[in-house]
Amino acid sequence: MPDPEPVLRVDDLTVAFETIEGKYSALNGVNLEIRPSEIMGLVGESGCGKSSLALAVIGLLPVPPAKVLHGNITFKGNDIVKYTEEAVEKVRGTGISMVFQEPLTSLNPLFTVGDQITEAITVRLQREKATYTKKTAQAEGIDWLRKVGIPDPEGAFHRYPHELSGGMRQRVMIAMALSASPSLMIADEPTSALDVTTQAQILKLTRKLVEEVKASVLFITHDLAVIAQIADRIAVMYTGMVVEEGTAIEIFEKPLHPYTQALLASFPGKESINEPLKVIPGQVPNLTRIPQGCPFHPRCSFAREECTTERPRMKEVSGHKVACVLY
Amino acid sequence: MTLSQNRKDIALTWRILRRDPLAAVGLIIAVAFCGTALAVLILGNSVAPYDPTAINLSLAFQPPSLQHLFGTDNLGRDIFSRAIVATPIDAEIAFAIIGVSASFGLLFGAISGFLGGYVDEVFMRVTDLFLAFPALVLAIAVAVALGPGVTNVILANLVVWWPVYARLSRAGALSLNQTQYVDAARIAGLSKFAILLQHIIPNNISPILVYGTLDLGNAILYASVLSYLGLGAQPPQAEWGRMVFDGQIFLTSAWWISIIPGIIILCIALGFNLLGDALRDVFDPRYRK
Repeated sequence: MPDPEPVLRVDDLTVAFETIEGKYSALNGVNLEIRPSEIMGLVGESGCGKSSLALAVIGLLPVPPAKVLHGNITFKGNDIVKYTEEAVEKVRGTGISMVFQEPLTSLNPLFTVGDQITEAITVRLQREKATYTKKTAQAEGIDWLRKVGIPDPEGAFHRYPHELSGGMRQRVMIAMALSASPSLMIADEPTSALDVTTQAQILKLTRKLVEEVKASVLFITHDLAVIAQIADRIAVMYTGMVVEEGTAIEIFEKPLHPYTQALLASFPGKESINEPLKVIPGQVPNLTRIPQGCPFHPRCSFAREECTTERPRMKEVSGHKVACVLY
Repeated sequence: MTLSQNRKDIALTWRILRRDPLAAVGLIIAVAFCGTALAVLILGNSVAPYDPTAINLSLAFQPPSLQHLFGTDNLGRDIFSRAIVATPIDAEIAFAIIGVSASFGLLFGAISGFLGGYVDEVFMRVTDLFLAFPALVLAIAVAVALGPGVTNVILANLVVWWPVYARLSRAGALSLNQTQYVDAARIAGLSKFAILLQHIIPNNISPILVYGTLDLGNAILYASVLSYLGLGAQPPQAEWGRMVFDGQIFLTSAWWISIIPGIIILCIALGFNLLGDALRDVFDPRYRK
């Protein structure tokens, strides 16, 4: 069976930030595909370009200093990199929505939760040219608050953001993002600011609701425990490149790229409770000076001569993709 | 919903006033000032115990007493009455200056900071141009060019007053521009105009309002200075700054003629400063519970 047409396809996307200190290559030829109703997890250390990718997809890269050097982003068959700003404004809200990391600052402190979710719904209804009244939009808003598991949704509807806890605010954000009935929801570290129990609830809820509204998700995190709980497929990023991609099970059971293996080994498990935590030697390279050849070779225990000169290409290996000379 | 919200606001205001007696002093001064101004505007000079312009040389240079609370001036006019009827002039000047420059600055700065790029560059250089002149000198120059009078004092001050508000509003817009809820609104597909109206300007109002209240005292000071220099209200119309000027030659023999209007200006300016401080607490949504 051929793969269904992907909701989002990123081809060879290269983005650089031009600053006084030099050129930061944030993304170096990223390739990524998200299929309908799929949760794609994007993992990597800080500074590997996860958030830049999200911003590029949603058209919020700060230009300048950011600059798309080459590559395409195709969303539902439309190339959105070539769009002018006006055209991007039209695409936004018609198919991509976003949940941010900080639930504290992602709601306007001056308006009630109800005002803000109703606004999001109204924007969608206007776009769909549906007939609605303020009352029905509000009722839908309360309904969404109930769906994301907020106790006393009618009460919460009239509350201000600061009157809700972080977890509750993040639920509101998810409600707002999904109430726009997007084809793709980008979640940039949505659970990183929450405690572990709340994290688990939010992840479960996200999964359930995303299935319900049939949205695809690009889920960005640095936390392997989180990605294991939610993702169908996983892409591992390093220095602005996707180095390995496969289903969640494949990535966790038989990681191929040495970087993925090292990441998983540094993840504390039950059996390693009395051992010191394994770490990856070295640091994520400065994005102004990405190593020649394979960017991971200075930290890689399998590195050979050819790794220092030639940048490995993505290869299909037993059902998943990896960029490493070992395969 | 709105009614209970109002009741909550009143309760909150009351709590802040009780906790902070200085705020209460500020509020009392501001209310007394505005109340007197309104009373004079509505009821005319009859509010004052004596005719503020009636000259009676046999009563000249009376020190403060029960008959004449603030004494009389060199022409025997009752200073208390003159101080009262001068209130609406200063209120009018101060509120007009702050009201117009704050609204204009809010809009100008918000557009500048939100749109950024060339618009911001042009808007801010214009602002710099006005900021570069010493404010008082520019105000005096404009007032001289336009000729003396209350309306011209207002116009002269507006020229130098708005840039500070534009800067304040722009700074607010710049930081709001970076907030995730503005990003979220962009992603949701809201137009620039809608974002400006719903997120940037409302979030900018409270700092502007707080600064504006603090600034009312300054505006009164400036208005008095221009009147002191003879550019504002013209005699026989009573005005505080003018009264200070008229009395200064008698400072050694009849101090009350200029000192008392001076003290009134000081108190009003201080009152609005205290009130502005308290308002900052009231408008901070984190205090709402």
